[in-house]
Amino acid sequence: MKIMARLAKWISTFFYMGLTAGGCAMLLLFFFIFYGAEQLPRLPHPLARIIETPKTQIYAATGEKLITLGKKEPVPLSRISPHFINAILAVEDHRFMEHSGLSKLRTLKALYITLVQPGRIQGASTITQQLAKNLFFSFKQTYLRKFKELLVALQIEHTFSKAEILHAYVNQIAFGAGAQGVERAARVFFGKPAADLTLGEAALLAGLPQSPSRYNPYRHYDRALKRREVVIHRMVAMGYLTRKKADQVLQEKPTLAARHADARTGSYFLDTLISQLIQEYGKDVLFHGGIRVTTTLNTAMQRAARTTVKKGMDKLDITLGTNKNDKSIPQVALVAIDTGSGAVKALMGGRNYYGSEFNRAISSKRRVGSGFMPFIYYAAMKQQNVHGGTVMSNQRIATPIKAGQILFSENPTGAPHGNMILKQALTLSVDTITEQLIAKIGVKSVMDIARICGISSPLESVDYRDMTAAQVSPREMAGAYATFASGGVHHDPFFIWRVEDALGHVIYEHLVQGKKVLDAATAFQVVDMMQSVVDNGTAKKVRQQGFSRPAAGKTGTDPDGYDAWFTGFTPGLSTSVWIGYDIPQKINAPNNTTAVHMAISMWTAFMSEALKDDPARPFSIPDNISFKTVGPFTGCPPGTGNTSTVTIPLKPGQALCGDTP
Amino acid sequence: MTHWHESTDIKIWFREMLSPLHLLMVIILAITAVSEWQMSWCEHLVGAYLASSNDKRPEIGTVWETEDRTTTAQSYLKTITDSRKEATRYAREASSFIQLASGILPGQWTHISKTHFKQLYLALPEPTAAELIPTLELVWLFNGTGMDKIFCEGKSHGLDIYFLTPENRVVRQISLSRATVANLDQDNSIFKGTLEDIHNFAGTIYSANQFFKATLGLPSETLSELIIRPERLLPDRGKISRVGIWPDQRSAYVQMGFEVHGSRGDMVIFTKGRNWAVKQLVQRLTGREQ
Repeated sequence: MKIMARLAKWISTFFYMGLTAGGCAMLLLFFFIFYGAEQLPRLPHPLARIIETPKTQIYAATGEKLITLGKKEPVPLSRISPHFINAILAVEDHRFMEHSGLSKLRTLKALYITLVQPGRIQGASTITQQLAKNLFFSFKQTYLRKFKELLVALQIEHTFSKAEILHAYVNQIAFGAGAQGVERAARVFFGKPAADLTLGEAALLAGLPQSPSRYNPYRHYDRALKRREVVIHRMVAMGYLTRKKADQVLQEKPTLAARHADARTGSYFLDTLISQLIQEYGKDVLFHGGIRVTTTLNTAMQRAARTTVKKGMDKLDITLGTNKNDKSIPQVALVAIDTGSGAVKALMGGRNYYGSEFNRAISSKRRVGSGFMPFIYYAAMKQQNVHGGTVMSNQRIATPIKAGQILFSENPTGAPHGNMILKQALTLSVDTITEQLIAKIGVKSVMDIARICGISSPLESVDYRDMTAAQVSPREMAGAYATFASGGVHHDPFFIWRVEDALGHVIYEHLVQGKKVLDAATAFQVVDMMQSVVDNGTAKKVRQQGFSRPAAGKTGTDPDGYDAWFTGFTPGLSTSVWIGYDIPQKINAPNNTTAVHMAISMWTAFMSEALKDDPARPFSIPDNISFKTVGPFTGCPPGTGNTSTVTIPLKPGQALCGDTP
Repeated sequence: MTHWHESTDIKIWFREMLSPLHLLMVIILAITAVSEWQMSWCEHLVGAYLASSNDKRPEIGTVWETEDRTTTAQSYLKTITDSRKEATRYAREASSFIQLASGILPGQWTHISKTHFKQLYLALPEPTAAELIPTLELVWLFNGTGMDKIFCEGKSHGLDIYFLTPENRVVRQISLSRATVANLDQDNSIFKGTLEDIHNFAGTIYSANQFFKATLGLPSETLSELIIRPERLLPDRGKISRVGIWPDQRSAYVQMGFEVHGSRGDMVIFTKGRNWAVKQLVQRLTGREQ
């Protein structure tokens, strides 16, 4: 009896203690509810209203939609595959239709695991709790946040129907890869609307919300399939599927839509554009303002650029024996600009966006080498009244440089020594003659010309070698050469034609206003020389590859062999191609010209494709230009039987062969 | 008193344990627990209470912040479009370039129709119009180019007017500086001060006597072109003491300033004359007449 009495005493003590503790807990709970309620967020009506975010749409100049940003548009449950609804209920909250926001059994189980097995966390959130968390709370795990989340869930359950809650949930849940809401996820992962999801696809999607990055099917396809298996087993357990059907579905491997590795734009052009829009209007307007942006991009040219870069770099990899797993592999940039307006028509900032997002076309400043010569020649022709037929000597010369030092230059291009006309010197990229020109006119004159043509990178230099070592971006080069192409009229490169709000009101439109910066006749004389570079000089590969349109350009190589350039233009389109390593290192090619030749090949392939539908047209010749024929080394009218001749454009007052005009 | 659980008698123990009070408490607790488990009334109660206080609670949390961002973005865009609408309205209602320039503030822009521009242009006095843009050039712009629309943009220095092709290429740009606008303004044809205060007249100031004497000696066809708007000089503002001639030869017209001493102080009244007519006058004034 003594034992019985002791037991009874224990029971009694526990009973009353439990009663008292329960009472206190209830009081505390009510205290928290009454006083904490004021700090809870207000619920919107209807629940899905605030999920809606107007979409910002970005279009190409040619009319195609390039990307939609910030779009969140809830789709009704009737437009979502029932397979997905079943799958998400089975795996996330199979008692959703029964509970009132809180699954007591799961909560008790989770509480038990949390208390008994420290370190292990058991999730118990219902769909309503998840919705409350996603709509109102941060992802920081605290007990207070969990409690608040529970209270909001209870209010949601009290205020809205199960259909409304489920509708809001499936439309805001994150699936990874930038996809929020089932409609967007279905489009991102499978390229179809949510209504058309098959059972296999729906089950795969339903498995993602638990850990979108861990189960990202683009990166971890097998993991995603394993997770889908769990979902399908849950569906069988809940009676949504027969075992036979489940086995059948498990054999299927859903095909993912291409080009959606994650939330990134996948485009160097769009990255640049988005940065500009953010700078101009701010993130809120871009991602929440529902604006419509018309860009300058020409999709056909962009396709051509992408294909050209891929093929060209694959070929270069073979030539160089590049191991693609190496940390540092050769990179490329290509920019094409409309010479008449400055519109950027195509842009590749690297060989593969998903391999490296760094935009070399805009942000990379690299040594341009003799690509700077057109600015030097223009400055000399303007200041010294020399022209393509002026004779100079290709010889080793001494140039005074900083701190009283003398620089002796040799011509590395293998051009013949002795006299030659300037047109021949540019055609063969003769450094020593360029140096003599610099010595005559001074570095500042060259810098001034480069600046007015649109080169904005720092150009602090004192001698010729530094001058051609100027570090500029491919965009600057394409834009600056476009100034020559358009007869000396410079247009700043731009990316945006027009921005409209959601109602179609124009909030910005670009005006094409050229600035006359170069003398048209002198600019034409330089273009004539640059045509000779393409026809007979260092870029004659352009012609060898069958590009027959009027074109001009200039190659450029860094003296150390780090960078290879070709920038060239037709009367309508200026394109710059750069090849090199991100961290400057010698391009380990069989010979010095390999990388430059690849840049020329890419330029040719791109221009051939980009201009295939445009009629060829010649460069316009200023009225005051006349043409004379001379010998390439004498600068004088050719004698009888002399087959080697060069045509030189002359301005009024310019003379040949030492004659007075 | 001995408690029921302290009893050594099993019968008493059971009797006490199953007393009505104890049974009632257990039954109440059991009903409460089971009903809550089955009906979730506690959750409903809390949910109902929270729903009742919903409107008093703050709009905080992720989703409200998102909506705030949408609201901010849309109000920013509305500011831009409203500003543009306002500029468009002012431009549409403008009956002179002065109204057009004062209606489009710096940062605002709008398009005006070609017809409207022509109306504004034709409303200007001939010399002023020609200074803004030569009439022949305007004829060329309207008929000899692909000009399709006219874009006006408010700038800190005044108003820029662009003549555009359908592709938004600028065919011609003119700038209406504040000074030009002030010149267009009839009320601004009067300057409070003397000719010395306007440095452009330096070295070309003549006494009224000298001026009118030289003027009256000119042929009648020259006289009619010498002062284009003589009516500005007719109101009785005081006595004309000196005349300044703005020696700018770039336009077809020459600016002249008549210094007046009156009861309202010194002032200069501006008017214009044909270049060739003023040239003849100056030759007489300087004694360089052949």
